[in-house]
Amino acid sequence: MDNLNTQEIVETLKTNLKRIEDRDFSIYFFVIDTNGAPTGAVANIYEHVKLLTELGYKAHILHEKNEYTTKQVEYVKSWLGEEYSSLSHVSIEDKTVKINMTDVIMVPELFANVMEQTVNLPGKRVVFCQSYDYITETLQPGKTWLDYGITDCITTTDKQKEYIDNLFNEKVNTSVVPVAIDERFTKNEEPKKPIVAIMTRDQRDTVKIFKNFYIKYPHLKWVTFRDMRGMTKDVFSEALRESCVSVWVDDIAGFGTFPIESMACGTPVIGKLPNLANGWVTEKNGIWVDNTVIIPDLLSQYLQSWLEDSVPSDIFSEMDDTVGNFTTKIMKETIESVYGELFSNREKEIKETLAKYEVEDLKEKK
Amino acid sequence: METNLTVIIPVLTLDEKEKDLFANAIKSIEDQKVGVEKILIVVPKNSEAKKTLDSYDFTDEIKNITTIIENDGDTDFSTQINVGVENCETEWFSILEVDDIYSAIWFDNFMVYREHYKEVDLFLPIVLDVNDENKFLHFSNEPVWARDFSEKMGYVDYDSLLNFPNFQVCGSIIKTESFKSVGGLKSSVKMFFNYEFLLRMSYYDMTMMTIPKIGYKKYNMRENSLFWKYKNDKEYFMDPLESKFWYNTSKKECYFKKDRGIKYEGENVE
Repeated sequence: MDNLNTQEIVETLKTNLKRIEDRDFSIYFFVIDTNGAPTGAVANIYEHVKLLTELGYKAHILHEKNEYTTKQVEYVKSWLGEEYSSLSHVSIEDKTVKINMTDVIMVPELFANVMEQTVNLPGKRVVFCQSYDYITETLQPGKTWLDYGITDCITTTDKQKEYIDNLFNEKVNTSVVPVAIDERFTKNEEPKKPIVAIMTRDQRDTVKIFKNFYIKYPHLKWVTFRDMRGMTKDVFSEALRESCVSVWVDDIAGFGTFPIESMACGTPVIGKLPNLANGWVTEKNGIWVDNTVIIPDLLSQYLQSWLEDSVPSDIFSEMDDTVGNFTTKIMKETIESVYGELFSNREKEIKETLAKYEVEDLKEKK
Repeated sequence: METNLTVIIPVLTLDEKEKDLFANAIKSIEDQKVGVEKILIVVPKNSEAKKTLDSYDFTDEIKNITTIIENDGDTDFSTQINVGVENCETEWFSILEVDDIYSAIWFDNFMVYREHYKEVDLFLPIVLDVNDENKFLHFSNEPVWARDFSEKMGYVDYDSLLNFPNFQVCGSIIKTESFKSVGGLKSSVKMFFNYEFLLRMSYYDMTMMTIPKIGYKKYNMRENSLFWKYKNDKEYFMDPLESKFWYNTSKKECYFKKDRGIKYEGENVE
């Protein structure tokens, strides 16, 4: 607005206020091209875009290169389904994206460089933090989000919010939108199979766990381990549904989608507690440990119980209770309220600016 | 829903020790969450075992569903079972050896799996093999759940049987009609009669799967049991050459529904 006179600024601000009232603004979610690799974080971004679109907002996936729409979107289609791949996608390379003051850009926590490069854009920038562990990954030493003019953040758990509040001395306004478990994660009517679904952040952990298991418990060598990496959502949910137990190791998990998806499929989890507690773990909704070394032993005990139909039933009721907190309905309601607040704060900011310029305009007219 | 299931118990002898084991076997039927329609005990005619059974103190619950069939023909294991099946009126039957037991969850699981796997003709349990001291030795029937063991995980098929003969049929729940249609067990085939039967079932397109639950506990090599006799009893003794003969014979005879009365003559081993 540097080139405008006061009256023009007032008019621009009024137009933008009208845009907010009419929901005639865009929310851009910056995503990276994972080259086809399915990731929970990207899936959650797509979920936000989908739910905001359903709520009547103009939400878009913002990607860097044009080729994303030909390659990655096809992957997204096979991985998440057409209802996600058909969401609005816009490319930075295309140079057709025009950011207005009322627009919002959601930047993943990992991309400090994007935060820096977008400092002069007129829209509001909000950090979309799904993994607290990546916050400082690309931040220059001594820099904070505040240095890039970012004062708002949306994260997925209360524990991550606490971490962010603590890190930035409560100067970043952080809200929580928990992840919803996709409705494809349901229980199978068919009996489960002696298959262990295993998901570890570091693939070496998967190999270590099943090799140790087979060495220590050769009589259970016939039990199959299924590495859950790189599957489409449909195949992934089907595999999880038919497994009798799952194993999860992810020290830096922010939310921990996999274990809840597993619970939704009626598949108990043997999991290593991540470094940052995620808030939904209870004593009974899974078998939780603080080191990976004992996982093969616990797995053998669990499988023995499963083979004898003697798994305690309370684990299943507790799992159901946990899953009940992460429905799409709850997520949609939370999105409506969290983003609604974000937009109304933006409206307030613009109104305050408008009031300032109106006073100035009056002075100039006098 | 009814199990529509008969338990066939072949009894050859019933000495004091075997009587205790028999009591456990019967109790394992009583302990099931779902009941069976019938128990058929097949016993040699006019034998000591028959007399013992006549005076055996069954509970009323068991007595009401039990029939003792006197077999006046051959008394080998296969014939005893075939006689039992001839008298079986239910859709399904299962073989329980006097010295083994079902686990309490077995028939319940059969009901569940029968509902979901309607195409299956024979459900094998995972068998817990223990020694005389009740110590775990190994599982049986479980390898079908290993990756790439058979064409379809959990199922026993012809190719997998050719590579792996060690399945246990006792404890299995078999569709009576399917059993009859392939000709039943062959008494001429020694030691590998189970194997030959499974090969024949798969050859004639019967579907077989292992329910991945421990359904049967087998006391391995119990003194005076059939396989113990193959190893230790002069009358039954089988040397490795003969054993190999029956193994190879099973692979050839499985194409024939009828028992062709093959005999081991010492020199006809490949």
